[in-house]
Amino acid sequence: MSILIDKNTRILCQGLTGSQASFHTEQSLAYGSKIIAGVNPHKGGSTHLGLPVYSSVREACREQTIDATIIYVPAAFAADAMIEAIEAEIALIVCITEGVPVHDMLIVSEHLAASESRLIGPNCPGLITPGECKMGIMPAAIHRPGKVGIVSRSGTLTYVAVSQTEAFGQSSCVGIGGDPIHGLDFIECLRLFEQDPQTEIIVLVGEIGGNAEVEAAEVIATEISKPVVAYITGASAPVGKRMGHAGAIIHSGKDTAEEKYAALKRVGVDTVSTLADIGEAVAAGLKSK
Amino acid sequence: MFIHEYQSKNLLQQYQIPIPRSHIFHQSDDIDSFAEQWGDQTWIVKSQIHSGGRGKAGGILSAHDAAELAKHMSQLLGSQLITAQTGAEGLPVNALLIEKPANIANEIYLGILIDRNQKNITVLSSSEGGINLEEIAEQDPSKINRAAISKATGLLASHHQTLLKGLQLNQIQAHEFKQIVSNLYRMFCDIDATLVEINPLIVTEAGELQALDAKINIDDNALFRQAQVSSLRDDSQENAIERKARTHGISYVKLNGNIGCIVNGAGLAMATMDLIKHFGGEPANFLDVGGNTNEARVTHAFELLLADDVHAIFVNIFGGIVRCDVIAHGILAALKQTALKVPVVVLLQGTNAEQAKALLKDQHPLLFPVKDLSEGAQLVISKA
Repeated sequence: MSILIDKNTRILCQGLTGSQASFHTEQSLAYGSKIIAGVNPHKGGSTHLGLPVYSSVREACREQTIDATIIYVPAAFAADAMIEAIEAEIALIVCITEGVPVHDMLIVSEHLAASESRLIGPNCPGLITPGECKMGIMPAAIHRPGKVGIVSRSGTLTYVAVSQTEAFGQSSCVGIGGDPIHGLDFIECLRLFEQDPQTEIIVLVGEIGGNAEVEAAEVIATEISKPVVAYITGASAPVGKRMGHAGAIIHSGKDTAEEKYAALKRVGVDTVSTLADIGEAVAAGLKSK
Repeated sequence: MFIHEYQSKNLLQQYQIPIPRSHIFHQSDDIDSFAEQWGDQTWIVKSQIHSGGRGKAGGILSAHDAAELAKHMSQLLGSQLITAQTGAEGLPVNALLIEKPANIANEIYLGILIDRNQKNITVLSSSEGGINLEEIAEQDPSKINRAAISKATGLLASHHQTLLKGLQLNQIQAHEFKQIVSNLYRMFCDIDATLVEINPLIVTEAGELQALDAKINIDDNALFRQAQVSSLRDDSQENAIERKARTHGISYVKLNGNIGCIVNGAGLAMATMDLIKHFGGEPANFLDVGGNTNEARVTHAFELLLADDVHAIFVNIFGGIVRCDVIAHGILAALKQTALKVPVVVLLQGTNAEQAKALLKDQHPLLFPVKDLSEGAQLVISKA
C-alpha cells in the first residue's frame, strides 16, 4: 500500500515535449511509472518518447484511461493546464512548474474547490511511491520501499529526509510545494498516511510563512494516531524577507518557526530542531511504537 | 517587488483614486529654483525609500517657506535613511515626494491582500486608520472589517456594506468610498498585486476622501506580464549583491553574520542557516543556487560571497537531478578565477557524491570536505 499513486497509476504528461519534461519523463519511465501519453496543443497526433501526443487533455481522456496528470508547462500557461485537467475530471494533478502567478492560483483554487480533483503543487518536486511509481523530479536512487511517510514544502529537504530514513524506507513521499497558494496541504496528506497500512511513522517538513503547520497540529491532535516527527526550516530567517520560496516569508509574529514548533509540540509531535536529527527521531519513534 | 510611495500614488491616480497635490523631485532636478517657485506655501517633504517607519527616522519633514523647503530637500536628497526596517546601512534617498499637507478630519484604513490560508482576496477596512493593521488588531480586532472576495464574482454590494461598517461616512462620502474600493480592487487584479494599502485614507475637513499614504507590493512571479509595473523597479533600493545574484538566477538574502552559505534548494538553504545558528555561528546570507543548478551558478555564488567579505564558506549540496560532480567542477572553476583566502567547508551528498569528492581531493589547502551536516556546520564555525 501507499498513498495517491502506485504501480497501476496511469499518468498523462502535459507539456511532454519540452526539454525538462522529456528528461524527467524518461527517468520516470525507467523507474517503471506508467506514463502513457502526453499533451501539446500544437503537436496532437505525433509521438514523443514513444508515447502518443494529444492536442488536449480532454482528447487524451477520451482515448485513454487516465488516473493522474503531471504538468511541466511554463509558468505563464500553467494555470490553464491545471484548469484543463480539473475540467477533464482527472483525479490527481501534479504541477511541477515554478513561478506561477499567485492571482492565477486563486482562480485555479476556485475551480479545484468545485471539483473532485486533487492538486499537488505547483512549485513542487512531485511525489513518489518507492519501487512502484515516480511522478516528479526527485532523484529515484535514494528511495526504497518502507514504512516512513514523508510530506514536505521543500524539494531538497524532502530528499534529505529520505536519505536520513534510508534504514526504514518510505511508503510515499509527497512534496506539496513552496508557493503561498497550492493544492494538497499537510492536513489532507496526514489523513492519507493515517489510513495507509504501510505507513508506520510520518515525517512532516514545514517552513516559515502561512499557518499550514499550525492547522496540521490541530488535526494531528484529533485524528492522527501514528507518530509524527516534524522539522520546520527558517528559524533564523529575518522578518519580511522572502527566502527563495514565494511562500517562505514571515509577515507577522504568527508564522515563525518558533510558533509552528510550539503548536506541534503542544499536541505531542516529536519536533527536531535541526535537519540532522530527523533520522534519529524516526528511529526512536519506530522503536517506542 | 516593492515600489515607491510616489509610484503607488501615480497608479492610484490612474484608477481615479484621489491623492494630495504633489510634485516628484529627482536628484538631477534643481533644488533652488524649485524652492523659489513653490516656497510660498507649506509642504511635506517625504523621502522615497522602500521601507516603512520613514517619519520616525526623520525622513518626512514639513517646510513652511522657501528657505526651509530648500534646506530639508538638500538635507534628505542623496542621504542614506536608516529606519527600524532598513538595517544599519539604510537606503539611499534618490527621490522626494513634495506634498500639500492635508487638513485631516478622520483617518481610515483600507487594504487589499491575498489571504494564503483562505485562498482568496481579502479587502480590509477600519475606522482606526493611521496606525498599522497589526496594532489595530491588537487594540480591538472588532474594528477591522473583512470582505472575502471570489475572483470569479468580484466585489458584491454586500462586501461594500461590510467594509463601510463603523467608518462614520455620510451618504456622499460612502458613495465615494465604494468607488475607491471598486477601483482599488480592479487595480489590485490588473497589476498582479499581493498587497495594496491606503493608510490612512483620510476625510479632509472639507469632507473629501484622499489617499494620504500608499503601499503596493507586486507578485514577482507575474512580472513577465506586467511591463508597466516592472519598469518601476528601483535597483538602488536593493542590496547590490542581492541584485547581482538575481541576474544570475540565484536567490540571495543578506544577513548579519560572517559565514557564507552556498546551498541548492530554498528549504535546505534555510535549514543550513538554522544549523549554523544552532551551533552558535552566524550565517552571512541565505543563498539558493536552485534545485536544478549548474556549474556556472556555483561559480557565480562563490564570486558573490567573496565580494561580501565572509570569513568562511559552507557549501551544502544535496545532489538529486543535479549531479555533485557538476557542482565540484563549479567549485574548481571558482577556485581558478578567484584567489581563495577563506576556508571552504564542502558537504556533497546524493548523486555522484563520491566522484565529486575525488575531484576535489587535495585541490586546495583551504578546501575541507565533510561527511555530514552537523560536522560541516561545526567545522565552518570553528574556521570562521
